Amino acid sequence: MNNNIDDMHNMNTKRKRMLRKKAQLEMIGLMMIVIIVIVGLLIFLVYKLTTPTQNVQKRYIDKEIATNMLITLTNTHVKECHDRRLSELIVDCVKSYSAMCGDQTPCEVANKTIFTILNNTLVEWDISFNLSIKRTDITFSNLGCGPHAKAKERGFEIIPLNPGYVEMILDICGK
Amino acid sequence: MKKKAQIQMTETIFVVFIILIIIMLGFVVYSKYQQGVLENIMKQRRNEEVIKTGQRLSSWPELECSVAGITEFACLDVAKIQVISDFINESKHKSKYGFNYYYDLLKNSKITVKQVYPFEEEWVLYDNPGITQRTDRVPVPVNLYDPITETYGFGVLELLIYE
Repeated sequence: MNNNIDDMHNMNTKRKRMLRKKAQLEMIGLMMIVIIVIVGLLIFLVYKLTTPTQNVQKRYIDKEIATNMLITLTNTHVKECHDRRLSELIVDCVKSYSAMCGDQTPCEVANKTIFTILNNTLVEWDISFNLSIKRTDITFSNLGCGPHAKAKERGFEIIPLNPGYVEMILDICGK
Repeated sequence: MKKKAQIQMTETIFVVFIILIIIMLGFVVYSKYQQGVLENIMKQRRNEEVIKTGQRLSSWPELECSVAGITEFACLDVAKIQVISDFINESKHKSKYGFNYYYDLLKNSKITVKQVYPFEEEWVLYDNPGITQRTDRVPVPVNLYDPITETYGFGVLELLIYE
């Protein structure tokens, strides 16, 4: 009789232990589901926030500013050099003509004029850019927009020479 | 046995409820993020419209630079700017037809032309601001033709659009 009671007691204890273990396992399962869902959401959010959006509108605006800037720059007449066009000064600069603008060379005047205009426009608007005129030493850069910068929009203008041409390149870098 | 089933049912409902809350939270966060992105895209689109309007303005007969009938790209005539600016301002104050004509084209906006080189000067071409500004300040570089000296200066056309 006593043995039977002991057996019954042992069985009850075992059953209770098994139930407790099962409940623990289910809690772990629940926790796993919650953790997986949260991790999934986090991965999705991090991916969405770190992937740069291909903003077509921003690129269009930068491209338009770069192109318009170069066209208007080359058409501008320079007061310091007998009201000659900047494009003519750049041609003279490439051809190394020296005494065309009083005591200054065409390269110096072109450099000074471009600096003044850029300083009052792109620099003032906090736009990151890099302007370079091939076959001359004229280069301007603002806010770290170097040749290796990513996400940049390019505008270019060709000034014909006889023979050849000069290329003006204006890169506007994304912020 | 019945009690155990009831406990398991409650547990399942609890799990489904938590998962639903997490999904809803994720959806709310994502929709907020998307809302921000969409607002930014809309703003950029309006800014793009500003550039188009700026370029259209330079082909208006009232403003264009034309030599022998050939219109130049992104160029405004300084003499014409002064005349049209005075005309619009005057007709606005006297509520004449002239202002209504330009209002149909430009609505609630402010158009400013700034000369940067050879000297600094500013003209307010059209000024009819609304309550809230809808666009960023988008500058459009333009040449400014002086018909007296027959030279081109460097300027910037700024157009702000309001609600």
